This record gives sequence, structure tokens and C-alpha cells, in this order.
Amino acid sequence: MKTTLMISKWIALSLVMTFAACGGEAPLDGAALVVEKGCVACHGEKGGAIAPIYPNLNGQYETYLRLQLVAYKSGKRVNAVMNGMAASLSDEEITALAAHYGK
Amino acid sequence: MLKRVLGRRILSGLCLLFGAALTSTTTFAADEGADLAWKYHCTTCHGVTGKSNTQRYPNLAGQNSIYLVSRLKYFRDGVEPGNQMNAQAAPLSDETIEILAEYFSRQSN
Repeated sequence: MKTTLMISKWIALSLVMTFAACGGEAPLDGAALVVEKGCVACHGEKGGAIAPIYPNLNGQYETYLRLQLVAYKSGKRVNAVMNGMAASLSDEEITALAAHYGK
Repeated sequence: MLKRVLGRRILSGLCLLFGAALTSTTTFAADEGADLAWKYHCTTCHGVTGKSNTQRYPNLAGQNSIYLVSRLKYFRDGVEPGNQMNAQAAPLSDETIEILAEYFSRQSN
């Protein structure tokens, strides 16, 4: 009896964990994320820079953008503003942001 | 008299030559960005018109000129150690950087 109870507890727990994991894999909304993370302040909603000192991101490769965000996060690419912006981004967020602006 | 006429002819001939030289300089200047992009091997990775041949390298076509200038100076001045662009940018003068940035900036993306 005790064993059966333990087994059902384990099954319930793994079911919950599976659902939680599935929920985490839902694709992030890039359009909402660029606003939330403050990207739009310099790069605009669609990647057109608001001032010529900032790069346009529209028309840029998705892979390149993702690699730059990873490099900013790790500090490999040095920029006073972008290192701070990228520091708190998760891998999923970086992927979604690159997909939103890039092609 | 003859000497004076001859002198004038030589003078006008020289003017013509000088004019032609000026014109050809102007023609050359229009392609200077393209020439420099070739000379400094930008085109190898970023394409003749700033469209890169792999997703790992950025498209430069239509990028803001001021941004490209600041980026090239970062590379040249070694602000980002280990970047493969540092060696490419090392021989570039400020003037060359300005011309290259303007060239890629005016290409359509």
C-alpha cells in the first residue's frame, strides 16, 4: 500500500514536471520582448535605429544578431551600453530577440 | 609672333590635359569606396555590395555610416581583443574608414 502511494506520488510529480518543462519551451513573443527589454529605445520596434550612431538591425542575419548578443553577454564584444543590456538575457530570450529583428 | 601663338597653343593644350585629368580623377573618386573595399578585402566576407556570404558575418549594406565608422575604429584600435576584424582594420586610416563606411552605407539592403 505504502509502495503504491509512493509510486503514484512519483508519477504525479513527473507529470507536473513534464508540463512545467513544456510550458517553458513555449516560444517567446519577440515583439513584446523588444519592448520589455528596452531594445526599442535605440533600435526601434522593427530594427530601424533611432539615431545613426546605433546600428540598424533590420535586414541583418538572425545568426549574426544572436552571436552578437551572446558576445555582449559574455563580454567578448565590448560596449558600455550593450554589455549591460545583454547581461540578464537568457538563451531563449536571445534567440527570440534575434529572430524578431533578424532574417 | 609665331612663338607667341605656339605658346598659346601649348598653354591651351596643357589646360585640356589638366581638364581631362580632373575629369578622370572625379570618375575615379566615384568608385573609390568600391576600390578600397576590394583592396582591404572587405568584399571577401561582406560581399561587393555589403551583403555577406554567410550568416556569421554582418550585412553592411544600408548600415548607418556613423555606426560603421565607430565600429571600424574600435577594431583598428583593439577595443575588442580577439576579434578577427582587428587585423583587417589595423592598416586603415581615418580617411579610408570614412570612405569605406560611406560606400557600404549607400548600398541598398
